[in-house]
Amino acid sequence: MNQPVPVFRDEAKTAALQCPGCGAPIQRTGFGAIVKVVCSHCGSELSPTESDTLRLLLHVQRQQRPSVLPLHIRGTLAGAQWEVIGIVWREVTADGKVYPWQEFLLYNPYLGYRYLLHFLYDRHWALGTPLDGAPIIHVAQRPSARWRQHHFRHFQRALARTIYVEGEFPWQVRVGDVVTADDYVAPPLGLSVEQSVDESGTDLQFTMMQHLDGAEVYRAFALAATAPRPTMIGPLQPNRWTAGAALTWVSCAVLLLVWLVATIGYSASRDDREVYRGTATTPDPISDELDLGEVGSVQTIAVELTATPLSNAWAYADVLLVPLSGSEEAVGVGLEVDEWHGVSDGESWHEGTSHASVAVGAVPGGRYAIQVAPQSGTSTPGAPAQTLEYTVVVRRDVVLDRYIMLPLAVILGVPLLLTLAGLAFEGARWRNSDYAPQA
Amino acid sequence: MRIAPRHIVYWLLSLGSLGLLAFDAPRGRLLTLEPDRGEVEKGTGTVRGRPIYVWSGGGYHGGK
Repeated sequence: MNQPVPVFRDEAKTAALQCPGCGAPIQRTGFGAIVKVVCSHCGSELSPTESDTLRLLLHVQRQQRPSVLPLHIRGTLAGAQWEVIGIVWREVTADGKVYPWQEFLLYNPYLGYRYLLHFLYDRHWALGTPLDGAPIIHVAQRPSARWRQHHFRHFQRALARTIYVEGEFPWQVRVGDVVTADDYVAPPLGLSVEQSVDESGTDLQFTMMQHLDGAEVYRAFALAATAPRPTMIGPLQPNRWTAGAALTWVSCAVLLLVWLVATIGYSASRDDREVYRGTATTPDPISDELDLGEVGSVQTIAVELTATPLSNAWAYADVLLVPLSGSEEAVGVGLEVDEWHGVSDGESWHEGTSHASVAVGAVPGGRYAIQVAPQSGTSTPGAPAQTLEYTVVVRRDVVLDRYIMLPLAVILGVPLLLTLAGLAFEGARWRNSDYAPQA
Repeated sequence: MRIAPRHIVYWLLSLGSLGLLAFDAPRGRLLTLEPDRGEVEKGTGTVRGRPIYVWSGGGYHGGK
Protein backbone atom coordinates (compact mmCIF):
# COMPACT_ATOMS: atom_id res chain seq x y z
CA MET A 1 0.00 0.00 0.00
CA ASN A 2 1.48 3.34 -1.08
CA GLN A 3 2.03 5.87 1.64
CA PRO A 4 1.71 9.56 0.73
CA VAL A 5 5.05 11.26 0.35
CA PRO A 6 5.34 13.93 3.07
CA VAL A 7 5.89 17.42 1.72
CA PHE A 8 7.73 18.67 4.79
CA ARG A 9 10.51 17.11 6.70
CA ASP A 10 9.89 15.83 10.16
CA GLU A 11 9.37 18.34 12.88
CA ALA A 12 12.66 19.97 13.81
CA LYS A 13 14.13 19.08 17.15
CA THR A 14 13.65 22.08 19.36
CA ALA A 15 17.03 21.59 20.90
CA ALA A 16 18.76 21.89 17.55
CA LEU A 17 18.83 25.70 17.48
CA GLN A 18 18.57 28.22 20.24
CA CYS A 19 18.09 31.94 20.14
CA PRO A 20 21.38 33.56 21.16
CA GLY A 21 19.36 36.35 22.68
CA CYS A 22 16.99 34.48 24.99
CA GLY A 23 17.84 30.80 24.60
CA ALA A 24 14.41 29.88 23.34
CA PRO A 25 14.19 27.07 20.79
CA ILE A 26 13.90 28.21 17.18
CA GLN A 27 12.47 26.03 14.46
CA ARG A 28 13.99 26.45 10.99
CA THR A 29 11.89 25.67 7.93
CA GLY A 30 12.87 27.96 5.09
CA PHE A 31 16.53 26.93 4.81
CA GLY A 32 18.74 28.40 2.08
CA ALA A 33 16.71 31.43 1.02
CA ILE A 34 16.28 32.74 4.54
CA VAL A 35 18.31 35.88 5.27
CA LYS A 36 16.64 36.99 8.49
CA VAL A 37 15.29 35.11 11.49
CA VAL A 38 13.38 36.96 14.18
CA CYS A 39 12.95 35.09 17.44
CA SER A 40 9.27 34.74 18.14
CA HIS A 41 9.91 34.81 21.88
CA CYS A 42 12.13 37.85 22.38
CA GLY A 43 12.17 39.49 18.95
CA SER A 44 15.97 39.37 18.58
CA GLU A 45 17.10 39.66 14.99
CA LEU A 46 19.24 36.73 13.91
CA SER A 47 21.12 35.71 10.81
CA PRO A 48 21.57 32.10 9.67
CA THR A 49 25.18 31.00 9.32
CA GLU A 50 26.80 28.37 7.13
CA SER A 51 27.28 26.15 10.13
CA ASP A 52 23.49 26.11 10.67
CA THR A 53 23.67 28.23 13.74
CA LEU A 54 22.15 31.65 14.34
CA ARG A 55 24.20 34.80 14.72
CA LEU A 56 22.77 37.57 16.83
CA LEU A 57 22.28 40.74 14.77
CA LEU A 58 20.18 42.78 17.14
CA HIS A 59 19.29 41.90 20.67
CA VAL A 60 15.66 42.75 21.41
CA GLN A 61 13.53 42.10 24.42
CA ARG A 62 9.88 42.12 23.64
CA GLN A 63 7.04 39.76 24.35
CA GLN A 64 5.50 37.51 21.75
CA ARG A 65 2.13 38.79 20.54
CA PRO A 66 -0.64 36.44 19.44
CA SER A 67 -1.56 36.56 15.75
CA VAL A 68 -4.65 35.17 14.08
CA LEU A 69 -2.50 32.28 12.79
CA PRO A 70 0.40 30.99 14.91
CA LEU A 71 3.89 30.45 13.60
CA HIS A 72 4.48 27.05 11.95
CA ILE A 73 0.82 26.22 11.52
CA ARG A 74 0.17 24.28 8.32
CA GLY A 75 -2.79 24.38 6.01
CA THR A 76 -3.93 23.71 2.46
CA LEU A 77 -4.69 26.75 0.33
CA ALA A 78 -5.05 26.95 -3.44
CA GLY A 79 -4.45 23.21 -3.69
CA ALA A 80 -1.09 23.16 -1.91
CA GLN A 81 0.11 22.69 1.62
CA TRP A 82 1.73 25.70 3.23
CA GLU A 83 3.45 26.45 6.51
CA VAL A 84 3.48 29.82 8.20
CA ILE A 85 7.17 30.56 8.69
CA GLY A 86 7.01 34.31 9.26
CA ILE A 87 4.57 36.85 10.61
CA VAL A 88 4.65 40.59 9.99
CA TRP A 89 2.23 43.10 11.42
CA ARG A 90 1.87 46.27 9.43
CA GLU A 91 -0.35 49.30 9.44
CA VAL A 92 -1.14 52.46 7.56
CA THR A 93 -2.50 55.68 8.98
CA ALA A 94 -5.03 57.72 7.03
CA ASP A 95 -6.96 60.73 8.26
CA GLY A 96 -5.69 60.04 11.76
CA LYS A 97 -7.06 56.52 11.78
CA VAL A 98 -4.85 53.42 11.94
CA TYR A 99 -5.57 50.49 9.61
CA PRO A 100 -3.62 47.41 10.79
CA TRP A 101 -3.21 44.04 9.14
CA GLN A 102 -1.22 40.86 9.66
CA GLU A 103 0.86 39.22 6.95
CA PHE A 104 1.69 35.54 7.16
CA LEU A 105 4.61 34.32 5.10
CA LEU A 106 3.62 30.91 3.72
CA TYR A 107 6.24 28.45 2.55
CA ASN A 108 6.11 25.34 0.45
CA PRO A 109 9.46 23.78 -0.50
CA TYR A 110 8.27 23.14 -4.08
CA LEU A 111 6.25 26.29 -4.70
CA GLY A 112 8.17 28.89 -2.72
CA TYR A 113 6.51 31.72 -0.83
CA ARG A 114 3.06 33.23 -0.63
CA TYR A 115 1.67 36.00 1.52
CA LEU A 116 -1.56 35.51 3.43
CA LEU A 117 -2.98 38.84 4.56
CA HIS A 118 -5.61 39.41 7.21
CA PHE A 119 -6.92 42.95 7.41
CA LEU A 120 -7.89 43.55 11.01
CA TYR A 121 -9.89 46.69 10.26
CA ASP A 122 -12.40 45.00 7.95
CA ARG A 123 -11.70 41.28 8.61
CA HIS A 124 -11.06 40.45 4.97
CA TRP A 125 -8.38 38.00 3.79
CA ALA A 126 -6.20 37.91 0.69
CA LEU A 127 -3.56 35.61 -0.72
CA GLY A 128 -0.54 37.23 -2.36
CA THR A 129 1.72 35.68 -4.99
CA PRO A 130 4.95 37.38 -6.08
CA LEU A 131 4.84 38.34 -9.75
CA ASP A 132 7.43 36.83 -12.05
CA GLY A 133 7.68 40.11 -13.93
CA ALA A 134 6.64 43.74 -13.75
CA PRO A 135 3.18 45.05 -14.57
CA ILE A 136 2.62 47.99 -16.89
CA ILE A 137 1.75 51.02 -14.80
CA HIS A 138 -0.13 53.86 -16.49
CA VAL A 139 0.64 57.00 -14.58
CA ALA A 140 -2.24 59.42 -14.80
CA GLN A 141 -4.52 61.42 -12.59
CA ARG A 142 -6.11 58.09 -11.81
CA PRO A 143 -3.39 55.47 -12.40
CA SER A 144 -4.06 52.00 -13.68
CA ALA A 145 -2.00 48.86 -14.14
CA ARG A 146 -1.99 45.92 -16.49
CA TRP A 147 -0.60 42.48 -15.81
CA ARG A 148 -1.17 40.00 -18.62
CA GLN A 149 -4.92 39.95 -19.27
CA HIS A 150 -5.83 41.73 -16.05
CA HIS A 151 -6.51 45.45 -15.89
CA PHE A 152 -6.34 47.08 -12.47
CA ARG A 153 -7.55 50.45 -11.24
CA HIS A 154 -5.59 52.32 -8.64
CA PHE A 155 -7.33 52.17 -5.27
CA GLN A 156 -5.08 53.86 -2.76
CA ARG A 157 -1.56 54.86 -1.86
CA ALA A 158 -0.31 54.75 1.71
CA LEU A 159 2.82 54.45 3.80
CA ALA A 160 2.88 50.97 5.31
CA ARG A 161 4.86 50.63 8.50
CA THR A 162 6.08 47.36 10.04
CA ILE A 163 5.19 47.15 13.72
CA TYR A 164 5.85 43.52 14.65
CA VAL A 165 7.92 40.64 13.25
CA GLU A 166 8.55 37.02 14.12
CA GLY A 167 9.83 33.99 12.21
CA GLU A 168 11.99 33.48 9.11
CA PHE A 169 12.15 35.73 6.08
CA PRO A 170 13.90 35.65 2.72
CA TRP A 171 14.32 39.42 2.87
CA GLN A 172 15.61 41.88 5.40
CA VAL A 173 12.73 42.93 7.60
CA ARG A 174 12.74 45.04 10.70
CA VAL A 175 10.23 46.74 12.95
CA GLY A 176 9.93 50.33 11.79
CA ASP A 177 10.40 49.58 8.09
CA VAL A 178 8.29 51.89 5.95
CA VAL A 179 7.33 51.30 2.33
CA THR A 180 5.11 53.18 -0.08
CA ALA A 181 2.28 50.83 -0.96
CA ASP A 182 0.09 51.32 -4.04
CA ASP A 183 -2.92 49.07 -4.26
CA TYR A 184 -4.64 48.42 -7.58
CA VAL A 185 -7.87 46.44 -7.75
CA ALA A 186 -9.77 44.29 -10.21
CA PRO A 187 -11.92 42.31 -7.73
CA PRO A 188 -11.42 39.61 -6.70
CA LEU A 189 -7.84 40.28 -7.81
CA GLY A 190 -5.53 43.03 -6.76
CA LEU A 191 -2.04 44.23 -7.50
CA SER A 192 0.20 45.50 -4.73
CA VAL A 193 3.21 47.62 -5.61
CA GLU A 194 5.52 48.31 -2.69
CA GLN A 195 8.38 50.71 -3.05
CA SER A 196 11.14 51.07 -0.51
CA VAL A 197 14.19 53.31 -0.70
CA ASP A 198 17.44 52.78 1.16
CA GLU A 199 21.09 53.57 0.69
CA SER A 200 21.42 50.85 -1.95
CA GLY A 201 18.64 52.26 -4.12
CA THR A 202 14.94 51.73 -4.75
CA ASP A 203 13.35 48.33 -4.35
CA LEU A 204 10.02 47.48 -5.99
CA GLN A 205 7.91 44.49 -5.02
CA PHE A 206 4.97 43.42 -7.18
CA THR A 207 2.44 41.04 -5.68
CA MET A 208 -0.75 39.64 -7.20
CA MET A 209 -3.47 39.51 -4.56
CA GLN A 210 -6.60 37.40 -4.52
CA HIS A 211 -9.51 37.85 -2.15
CA LEU A 212 -10.16 34.90 0.16
CA ASP A 213 -13.20 34.08 2.18
CA GLY A 214 -12.44 34.02 5.90
CA ALA A 215 -14.23 30.70 6.33
CA GLU A 216 -12.00 29.19 3.63
CA VAL A 217 -8.88 30.27 5.53
CA TYR A 218 -10.21 28.92 8.80
CA ARG A 219 -11.00 25.60 7.12
CA ALA A 220 -7.58 25.51 5.45
CA PHE A 221 -5.77 25.81 8.76
CA ALA A 222 -8.32 23.78 10.72
CA LEU A 223 -9.02 26.59 13.14
CA ALA A 224 -11.68 25.68 15.65
CA ALA A 225 -13.31 29.10 15.78
CA THR A 226 -15.71 30.57 13.24
CA ALA A 227 -14.28 33.19 10.92
CA PRO A 228 -15.58 36.65 11.88
CA ARG A 229 -17.76 38.28 9.26
CA PRO A 230 -16.25 41.25 7.44
CA THR A 231 -17.34 44.58 8.82
CA MET A 232 -17.27 46.49 5.55
CA ILE A 233 -16.86 45.98 1.82
CA GLY A 234 -13.24 45.16 1.10
CA PRO A 235 -11.20 46.51 -1.83
CA LEU A 236 -10.92 43.01 -3.33
CA GLN A 237 -14.28 41.64 -2.25
CA PRO A 238 -16.18 40.20 -5.23
CA ASN A 239 -19.32 42.12 -6.11
CA ARG A 240 -22.02 39.54 -5.51
CA TRP A 241 -24.64 41.61 -7.30
CA THR A 242 -22.81 41.71 -10.59
CA ALA A 243 -21.65 38.08 -10.45
CA GLY A 244 -23.29 36.28 -13.37
CA ALA A 245 -24.47 39.56 -14.89
CA ALA A 246 -23.80 38.30 -18.42
CA LEU A 247 -26.12 35.33 -17.91
CA THR A 248 -28.74 37.61 -16.37
CA TRP A 249 -28.75 39.96 -19.36
CA VAL A 250 -28.71 37.10 -21.88
CA SER A 251 -31.69 35.64 -20.02
CA CYS A 252 -33.33 39.05 -20.11
CA ALA A 253 -32.95 39.27 -23.90
CA VAL A 254 -34.41 35.78 -24.41
CA LEU A 255 -37.29 36.42 -22.01
CA LEU A 256 -38.06 39.74 -23.71
CA LEU A 257 -38.36 37.88 -27.00
CA VAL A 258 -40.74 35.37 -25.42
CA TRP A 259 -42.71 38.23 -23.87
CA LEU A 260 -42.99 40.00 -27.23
CA VAL A 261 -44.32 36.88 -28.94
CA ALA A 262 -46.75 36.19 -26.08
CA THR A 263 -47.97 39.79 -26.08
CA ILE A 264 -48.59 39.82 -29.82
CA GLY A 265 -50.38 36.48 -29.59
CA TYR A 266 -52.52 37.60 -26.66
CA SER A 267 -53.49 40.96 -28.16
CA ALA A 268 -54.18 39.59 -31.63
CA SER A 269 -56.46 36.86 -30.36
CA ARG A 270 -58.77 39.18 -28.38
CA ASP A 271 -62.18 40.09 -29.81
CA ASP A 272 -62.36 43.39 -27.93
CA ARG A 273 -65.91 43.70 -29.22
CA GLU A 274 -68.45 46.29 -28.13
CA VAL A 275 -71.51 44.34 -27.03
CA TYR A 276 -73.56 47.18 -25.60
CA ARG A 277 -73.88 50.94 -25.85
CA GLY A 278 -76.62 52.81 -24.07
CA THR A 279 -77.21 56.54 -23.68
CA ALA A 280 -79.58 58.38 -21.35
CA THR A 281 -79.83 61.59 -19.33
CA THR A 282 -79.53 61.78 -15.61
CA PRO A 283 -81.33 60.82 -13.45
CA ASP A 284 -83.04 58.37 -15.84
CA PRO A 285 -81.82 54.79 -15.40
CA ILE A 286 -80.96 52.37 -18.19
CA SER A 287 -82.41 48.89 -18.32
CA ASP A 288 -81.60 46.67 -21.27
CA GLU A 289 -80.19 43.32 -22.31
CA LEU A 290 -76.86 42.29 -23.82
CA ASP A 291 -75.02 39.19 -24.96
CA LEU A 292 -71.66 38.30 -23.39
CA GLY A 293 -70.70 35.39 -25.63
CA GLU A 294 -71.44 31.72 -25.46
CA VAL A 295 -72.77 30.08 -22.35
CA GLY A 296 -69.94 28.22 -20.67
CA SER A 297 -67.23 30.62 -21.81
CA VAL A 298 -65.38 32.88 -19.39
CA GLN A 299 -63.99 36.23 -20.44
CA THR A 300 -62.94 39.70 -19.47
CA ILE A 301 -65.24 42.66 -19.94
CA ALA A 302 -64.71 46.40 -19.78
CA VAL A 303 -67.47 48.74 -18.60
CA GLU A 304 -67.06 52.39 -19.59
CA LEU A 305 -68.91 55.53 -18.53
CA THR A 306 -68.87 58.89 -20.27
CA ALA A 307 -70.87 61.92 -19.11
CA THR A 308 -71.23 65.36 -20.75
CA PRO A 309 -71.27 68.26 -20.26
CA LEU A 310 -69.36 68.07 -16.97
CA SER A 311 -68.45 71.41 -15.45
CA ASN A 312 -67.51 71.46 -11.77
CA ALA A 313 -69.71 68.42 -11.40
CA TRP A 314 -69.58 64.67 -10.95
CA ALA A 315 -71.56 61.71 -12.19
CA TYR A 316 -71.67 58.21 -10.82
CA ALA A 317 -73.26 55.08 -12.24
CA ASP A 318 -74.06 51.75 -10.65
CA VAL A 319 -73.89 49.20 -13.43
CA LEU A 320 -75.53 45.88 -12.65
CA LEU A 321 -75.22 42.86 -14.93
CA VAL A 322 -77.78 40.19 -14.10
CA PRO A 323 -77.53 36.83 -15.85
CA LEU A 324 -80.87 36.02 -17.38
CA SER A 325 -80.24 32.30 -17.02
CA GLY A 326 -80.55 32.81 -13.28
CA SER A 327 -77.77 30.35 -12.61
CA GLU A 328 -74.99 32.87 -12.05
CA GLU A 329 -74.43 35.67 -9.61
CA ALA A 330 -74.98 39.23 -10.73
CA VAL A 331 -71.98 41.48 -11.29
CA GLY A 332 -71.98 45.05 -10.07
CA VAL A 333 -69.44 47.80 -10.75
CA GLY A 334 -69.40 51.48 -9.90
CA LEU A 335 -67.93 54.14 -12.18
CA GLU A 336 -67.38 57.79 -11.43
CA VAL A 337 -66.45 60.72 -13.65
CA ASP A 338 -65.92 64.31 -12.60
CA GLU A 339 -64.56 67.58 -13.87
CA TRP A 340 -63.30 70.49 -11.79
CA HIS A 341 -61.75 73.76 -12.82
CA GLY A 342 -61.14 77.19 -11.42
CA VAL A 343 -58.54 79.89 -10.83
CA SER A 344 -56.15 79.95 -7.87
CA ASP A 345 -53.53 82.64 -7.31
CA GLY A 346 -54.05 83.91 -10.81
CA GLU A 347 -53.47 80.45 -12.31
CA SER A 348 -56.26 78.52 -13.90
CA TRP A 349 -56.45 74.83 -13.11
CA HIS A 350 -58.34 71.86 -14.38
CA GLU A 351 -58.66 68.30 -13.18
CA GLY A 352 -60.84 65.24 -13.50
CA THR A 353 -62.04 63.25 -16.46
CA SER A 354 -65.32 62.70 -18.24
CA HIS A 355 -64.51 59.09 -19.06
CA ALA A 356 -64.02 56.11 -16.73
CA SER A 357 -63.43 52.44 -17.41
CA VAL A 358 -63.39 49.32 -15.22
CA ALA A 359 -62.16 45.91 -16.31
CA VAL A 360 -63.72 42.82 -14.82
CA GLY A 361 -62.36 39.33 -15.18
CA ALA A 362 -63.84 35.84 -15.10
CA VAL A 363 -67.32 36.85 -16.29
CA PRO A 364 -69.32 33.85 -17.50
CA GLY A 365 -70.78 34.08 -20.98
CA GLY A 366 -74.51 34.24 -21.70
CA ARG A 367 -77.32 36.72 -21.93
CA TYR A 368 -77.50 39.43 -19.29
CA ALA A 369 -79.77 42.21 -18.20
CA ILE A 370 -77.93 45.48 -17.73
CA GLN A 371 -79.24 48.04 -15.27
CA VAL A 372 -77.61 51.43 -14.87
CA ALA A 373 -78.57 53.75 -12.02
CA PRO A 374 -76.93 57.19 -12.45
CA GLN A 375 -76.34 59.92 -9.91
CA SER A 376 -74.84 63.37 -10.38
CA GLY A 377 -74.03 66.48 -8.45
CA THR A 378 -72.16 69.79 -8.47
CA SER A 379 -69.62 71.49 -6.28
CA THR A 380 -72.25 73.72 -4.74
CA PRO A 381 -73.98 72.10 -1.76
CA GLY A 382 -77.73 72.09 -2.13
CA ALA A 383 -77.63 73.22 -5.75
CA PRO A 384 -79.82 71.27 -8.18
CA ALA A 385 -77.96 68.56 -10.08
CA GLN A 386 -77.09 69.25 -13.71
CA THR A 387 -78.80 67.22 -16.34
CA LEU A 388 -76.06 65.18 -17.96
CA GLU A 389 -76.05 62.93 -20.95
CA TYR A 390 -74.28 59.75 -20.04
CA THR A 391 -73.23 56.75 -22.07
CA VAL A 392 -72.42 53.27 -20.85
CA VAL A 393 -70.41 50.94 -23.08
CA VAL A 394 -69.67 47.27 -22.43
CA ARG A 395 -66.95 45.47 -24.36
CA ARG A 396 -66.08 41.81 -24.02
CA ASP A 397 -62.82 39.87 -24.42
CA VAL A 398 -60.73 42.98 -23.89
CA VAL A 399 -56.94 43.26 -23.61
CA LEU A 400 -55.85 43.77 -20.02
CA ASP A 401 -52.63 45.80 -19.99
CA ARG A 402 -51.68 44.57 -16.51
CA TYR A 403 -51.10 41.07 -17.86
CA ILE A 404 -48.71 42.53 -20.41
CA MET A 405 -46.94 44.93 -18.05
CA LEU A 406 -46.38 42.48 -15.17
CA PRO A 407 -43.97 40.14 -17.03
CA LEU A 408 -42.28 43.13 -18.63
CA ALA A 409 -41.70 44.64 -15.19
CA VAL A 410 -40.26 41.35 -13.89
CA ILE A 411 -38.10 40.67 -16.94
CA LEU A 412 -36.60 44.16 -17.00
CA GLY A 413 -36.89 44.99 -13.33
CA VAL A 414 -34.80 42.16 -11.89
CA PRO A 415 -31.68 42.86 -14.00
CA LEU A 416 -32.06 46.59 -13.40
CA LEU A 417 -32.37 46.09 -9.65
CA LEU A 418 -29.31 43.82 -9.66
CA THR A 419 -27.41 46.45 -11.64
CA LEU A 420 -28.40 49.18 -9.19
CA ALA A 421 -27.40 46.99 -6.24
CA GLY A 422 -24.06 46.31 -7.95
CA LEU A 423 -23.48 50.02 -8.46
CA ALA A 424 -24.30 50.69 -4.82
CA PHE A 425 -21.84 47.97 -3.81
CA GLU A 426 -19.09 49.55 -5.93
CA GLY A 427 -19.91 52.94 -4.48
CA ALA A 428 -19.41 51.57 -0.98
CA ARG A 429 -16.14 49.92 -2.05
CA TRP A 430 -14.70 53.09 -3.56
CA ARG A 431 -15.77 55.26 -0.65
CA ASN A 432 -12.78 53.71 1.17
CA SER A 433 -10.34 54.57 -1.60
CA ASP A 434 -8.31 57.63 -2.53
CA TYR A 435 -11.05 58.38 -5.05
CA ALA A 436 -14.01 58.59 -2.71
CA PRO A 437 -16.53 61.19 -3.83
CA GLN A 438 -16.18 64.35 -1.83
CA ALA A 439 -19.03 64.99 0.57
CA MET B 1 -21.38 31.25 -17.30
CA ARG B 2 -22.19 29.92 -13.86
CA ILE B 3 -25.83 29.55 -12.87
CA ALA B 4 -26.53 31.13 -9.50
CA PRO B 5 -29.67 30.78 -7.37
CA ARG B 6 -30.65 34.32 -8.32
CA HIS B 7 -30.77 33.25 -11.98
CA ILE B 8 -33.16 30.45 -11.13
CA VAL B 9 -35.37 32.80 -9.10
CA TYR B 10 -35.33 35.28 -11.98
CA TRP B 11 -36.31 32.63 -14.50
CA LEU B 12 -39.10 31.31 -12.29
CA LEU B 13 -40.54 34.78 -11.68
CA SER B 14 -40.34 35.69 -15.36
CA LEU B 15 -41.81 32.42 -16.58
CA GLY B 16 -44.53 32.63 -13.94
CA SER B 17 -45.59 36.09 -15.08
CA LEU B 18 -45.36 34.99 -18.73
CA GLY B 19 -47.54 32.03 -17.80
CA LEU B 20 -50.15 34.44 -16.47
CA LEU B 21 -50.03 36.32 -19.77
CA ALA B 22 -50.33 33.15 -21.82
CA PHE B 23 -52.92 31.24 -19.83
CA ASP B 24 -54.86 33.53 -17.50
CA ALA B 25 -55.03 36.81 -19.39
CA PRO B 26 -57.82 35.67 -21.78
CA ARG B 27 -60.11 34.95 -18.82
CA GLY B 28 -58.72 37.44 -16.34
CA ARG B 29 -59.29 35.36 -13.23
CA LEU B 30 -56.31 36.62 -11.21
CA LEU B 31 -55.20 40.12 -12.14
CA THR B 32 -58.53 41.89 -12.43
CA LEU B 33 -60.29 43.62 -9.60
CA GLU B 34 -62.90 41.34 -8.19
CA PRO B 35 -66.24 43.07 -8.85
CA ASP B 36 -69.13 42.94 -6.47
CA ARG B 37 -70.95 39.71 -7.07
CA GLY B 38 -74.07 38.50 -5.43
CA GLU B 39 -77.66 37.40 -5.70
CA VAL B 40 -80.27 39.87 -6.90
CA GLU B 41 -84.00 39.85 -6.76
CA LYS B 42 -86.63 41.72 -8.69
CA GLY B 43 -87.85 44.86 -6.99
CA THR B 44 -91.14 46.60 -7.37
CA GLY B 45 -91.80 48.58 -10.50
CA THR B 46 -90.28 48.47 -13.95
CA VAL B 47 -88.13 50.59 -16.25
CA ARG B 48 -89.47 50.63 -19.79
CA GLY B 49 -91.17 47.35 -19.07
CA ARG B 50 -88.12 45.66 -17.63
CA PRO B 51 -87.81 44.61 -14.02
CA ILE B 52 -85.73 46.54 -11.52
CA TYR B 53 -83.10 44.40 -9.81
CA VAL B 54 -81.92 44.96 -6.26
CA TRP B 55 -79.20 43.20 -4.32
CA SER B 56 -80.51 40.62 -1.96
CA GLY B 57 -77.27 40.21 0.01
CA GLY B 58 -73.52 40.48 -0.04
CA GLY B 59 -71.27 43.46 0.21
CA TYR B 60 -72.61 45.48 -2.68
CA HIS B 61 -75.06 48.19 -1.77
CA GLY B 62 -74.76 50.54 -4.70
CA GLY B 63 -74.86 54.30 -4.80
CA LYS B 64 -72.42 56.88 -3.58
